Amino acid sequence: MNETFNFTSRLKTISIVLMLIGAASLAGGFVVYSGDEINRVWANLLLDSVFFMGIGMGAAFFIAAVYLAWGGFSVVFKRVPEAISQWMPIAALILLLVLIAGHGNLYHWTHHDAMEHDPILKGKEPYLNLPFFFIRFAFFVGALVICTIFLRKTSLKEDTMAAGDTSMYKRSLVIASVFIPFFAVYILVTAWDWLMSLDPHWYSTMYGWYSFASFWVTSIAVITLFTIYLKKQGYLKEVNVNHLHNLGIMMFAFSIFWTYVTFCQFMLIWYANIPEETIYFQHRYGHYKPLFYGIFILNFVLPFLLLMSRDAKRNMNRLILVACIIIVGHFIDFYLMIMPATIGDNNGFGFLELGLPCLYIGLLLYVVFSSLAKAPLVPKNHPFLQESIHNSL
Amino acid sequence: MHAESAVRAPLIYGNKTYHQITEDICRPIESKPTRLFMITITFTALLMTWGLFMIGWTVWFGIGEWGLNRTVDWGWDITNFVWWIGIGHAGTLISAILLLFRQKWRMAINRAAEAMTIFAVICAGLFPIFHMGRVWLIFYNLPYPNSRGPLWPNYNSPLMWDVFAISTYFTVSLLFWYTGLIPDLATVRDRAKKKLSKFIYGVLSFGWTGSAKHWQRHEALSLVLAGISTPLVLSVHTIVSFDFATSVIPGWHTTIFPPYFVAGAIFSGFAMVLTLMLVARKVMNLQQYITLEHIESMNKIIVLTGSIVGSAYITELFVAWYSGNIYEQYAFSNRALGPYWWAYWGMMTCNVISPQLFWVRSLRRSVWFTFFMSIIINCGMWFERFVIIVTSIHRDFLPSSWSYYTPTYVEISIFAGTVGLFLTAFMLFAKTMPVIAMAETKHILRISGDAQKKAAAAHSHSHEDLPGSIQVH
Amino acid sequence: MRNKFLVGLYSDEDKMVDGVRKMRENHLEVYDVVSPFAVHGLDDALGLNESRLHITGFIYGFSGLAIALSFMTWSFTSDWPLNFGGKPHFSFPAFIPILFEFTVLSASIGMTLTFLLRSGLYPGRIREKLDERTTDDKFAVVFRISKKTTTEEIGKMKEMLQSSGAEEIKERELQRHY
Repeated sequence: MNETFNFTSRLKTISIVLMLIGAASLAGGFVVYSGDEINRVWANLLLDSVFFMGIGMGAAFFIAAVYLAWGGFSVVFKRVPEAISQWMPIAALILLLVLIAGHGNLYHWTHHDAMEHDPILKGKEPYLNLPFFFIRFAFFVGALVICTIFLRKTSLKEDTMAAGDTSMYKRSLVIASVFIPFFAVYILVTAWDWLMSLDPHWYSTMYGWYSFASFWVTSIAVITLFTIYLKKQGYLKEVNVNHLHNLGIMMFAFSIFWTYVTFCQFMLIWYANIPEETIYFQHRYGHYKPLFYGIFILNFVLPFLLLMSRDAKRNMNRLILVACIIIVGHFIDFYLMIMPATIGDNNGFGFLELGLPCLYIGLLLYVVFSSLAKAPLVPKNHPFLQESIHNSL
Repeated sequence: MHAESAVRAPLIYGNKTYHQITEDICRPIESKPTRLFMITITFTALLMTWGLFMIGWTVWFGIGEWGLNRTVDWGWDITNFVWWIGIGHAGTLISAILLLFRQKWRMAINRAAEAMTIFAVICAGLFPIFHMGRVWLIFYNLPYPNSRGPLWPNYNSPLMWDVFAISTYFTVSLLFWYTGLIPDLATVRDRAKKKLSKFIYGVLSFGWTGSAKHWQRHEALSLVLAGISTPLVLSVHTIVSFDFATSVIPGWHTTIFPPYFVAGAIFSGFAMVLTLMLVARKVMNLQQYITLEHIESMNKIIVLTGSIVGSAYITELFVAWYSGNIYEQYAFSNRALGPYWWAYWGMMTCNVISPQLFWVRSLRRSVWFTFFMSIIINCGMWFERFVIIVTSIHRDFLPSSWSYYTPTYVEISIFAGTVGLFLTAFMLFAKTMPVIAMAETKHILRISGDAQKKAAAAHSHSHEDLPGSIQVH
Repeated sequence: MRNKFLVGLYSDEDKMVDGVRKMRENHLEVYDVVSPFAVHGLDDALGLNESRLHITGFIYGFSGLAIALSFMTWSFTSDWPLNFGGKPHFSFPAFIPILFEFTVLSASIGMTLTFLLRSGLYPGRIREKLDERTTDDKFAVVFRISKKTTTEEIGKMKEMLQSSGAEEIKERELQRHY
């Protein structure tokens, strides 16, 4: 019960090497694509920053949602989403830097003359202006980061309390119930700010749900991967097939949820056939057609078929496979949200697209593993601990 | 082995044994109807009869008896349809989604909620059927080889999707409800004293014995039905929302409609479950089974879904402004400030503002306040559908077609009649069938009964090996 | 045909499950267990094979999907193609709602009927009762006594029932399917 994670030097080396590869490809990107193609670098930076920020936010949401739903199953591996959520402040910082440095290249509406000559954009100015954009970022991300840090602190403090003391549990409930409303509003705002305003004329009320569904299922996949990794390394002895089954159900269910949201958004726009709206899919169809169909295969068909049976959800290797498919599939999904709007048909999958995520993966691994090493891997005093250990499905 | 945390409150109070559960739940079925019951059901049956008469009236004289006009061709009929369908969502949601999430508190309310679903879907179905006008041609909806070509129904039409969605939903809910009911009906059969009731429950319980293999299949069936009912229940209101959202009408064509309709349906469904169950628990003495914990859990779902609905309203408003589309912008300012402003603000007050009071724990646990709020939410959700339907179409693209719609007494009577039908059916159900799933309640007694929890907690304290938690073998 | 059964009634399901497990370890063939609700761990103790009902559900659902897709495609692309709002005759996104509904409908009707058929349940089915309390609060372990069953074996059954906590042991003569 008192196991702690050992952040070995080998793991440190791996994450640092990944970071170096990523940094090198970023530098290479600035050299190779200098000039007219520089947008490709910024678009990739935005893509990776948003995608990895989403993983952190999703992990924090996982903890808060489980608290509020009185969920007991996840307590034994609760430190995993907790550690991933510790990545969120750093991801937010990186994203902020990218937005500050790259907004001119990424967001058409930040150009003053574009605004002046476009009455529709002019009408959106009260919302789409840089000061308000950054105020929203600071306010909401600040609130989320503070809640996340407090959730983590309370959880660590719980370990030191006397057995049977539920005061820290109750405090976590309060923090979670503050977190959720902020999160709920901000997932809408993030989607509008970071992604939807890349196509500043276009609008869809579903967009917030759509991007949320995408990064939420990605987070679950990442949580699953870390949990299984720890399990395979001999940690987390209390985690058994039932916990994996639960994670499998979540990946399965939220893959279907993503499909539902994505299909509804697409179908309604396709059906009504209003040019102002269909333009979004027009941009994502021609040149991007294989990816457009690809995400339905990666994010729906494969997870659905591979995780349908009970045995599959209880099989570690199957879960690893599906989690990887989901992560790649949703990366492509975000790619499809960002690239057509920023670089249009000049996209591609080169060293930048493959190398830059390594920077983020390396950072993520480093942060997550060092957070895992800082605290016991199984919370000691959580009121649902026994329930979680004896979880059966 | 199961373990349940001590922080979870018991779900069954009163030191129950298996036999007492049987007694408590079968008592209302076996006792004579009370005078209160007879008076109430007479009243609701009269209301139902009046509504059915008015449906007959509509068929005889035509849809002209309703207040619809050329601009507002969907009025109370479709409003009521969507309202009832929404109410019909809680049953399957409770049984299916809460089963998949292993929420034990569903056991006390799932049976009644499923029954409610079925009656609500029946009420809902009446409206589009009689809105067709020439109801005797209803079979035109079916894809049968016909003498018109054969000309097939339009599978691309959301109204056709509705036909499939509603009938599938009704069938699957009925199967789910009835297969769950079979073991409990067998219990009633085995206790029946009178020959007639022995015979009737004998027929209804399909010869159930409780054999291990039957239970195993029964559990497998429930789990798979729950699994496929979960996307089904989402799809039904999604398809209802497609009726509006596939159009190009400002205020209707918005991509958020599917999840927002589903959240609204769950919201109103839980409110209706609360309305009925708070009365049933008092009248039938079920306070030990439908506890404050159950009420609180349902109120939490109400806050959640109410907030989703609220955020969807705000999203719609924001995006209407953000779109820069003057027709969108007008549609929404007309909702708030136009001739139907009262419906809009009624909706906002009942659905967005008032459920937020449930953040307060003492209000969540107050029976009277919950009952009051459940009525408010039901009204609010009715306003929502009215706002979406009528205010969006009463201002046509062509200002010369602008109009105002008021229902006639025929439409109001039909609506009242469906309320009567719903209540009558529910009361008959509560009088003749076990309102609480007996077998499932017995299943969780060992873990969630108060006496059992206390005993287990005492046991674990004496051993001091499991802080803050209890175990049950 | 009448059959003889030896029935042991329990009030405690845990004792019953443990008893069943021991009886099977002692090479007694437990014919059935009748209980008022699905007892956790009983399938395992009885050594029941996993139900294959969900597989049939998949087959029914998939057939429903195939039927709906082929019928809609046939009627809209070859039998009577109509132009609806300029959309293609084969409008797959618009077919999805009906495809989904029909899949669910086929799977659930098919599975429920299979369940009822396999378990011999239908309206009006009357079965002789083992004991009226098995739908209330008693758990019955049932042995079948055929002509081959020796008195020794019956003695062993009774003893095992008694020692594992059965409160009432009785012999009943019933139809094959009680």
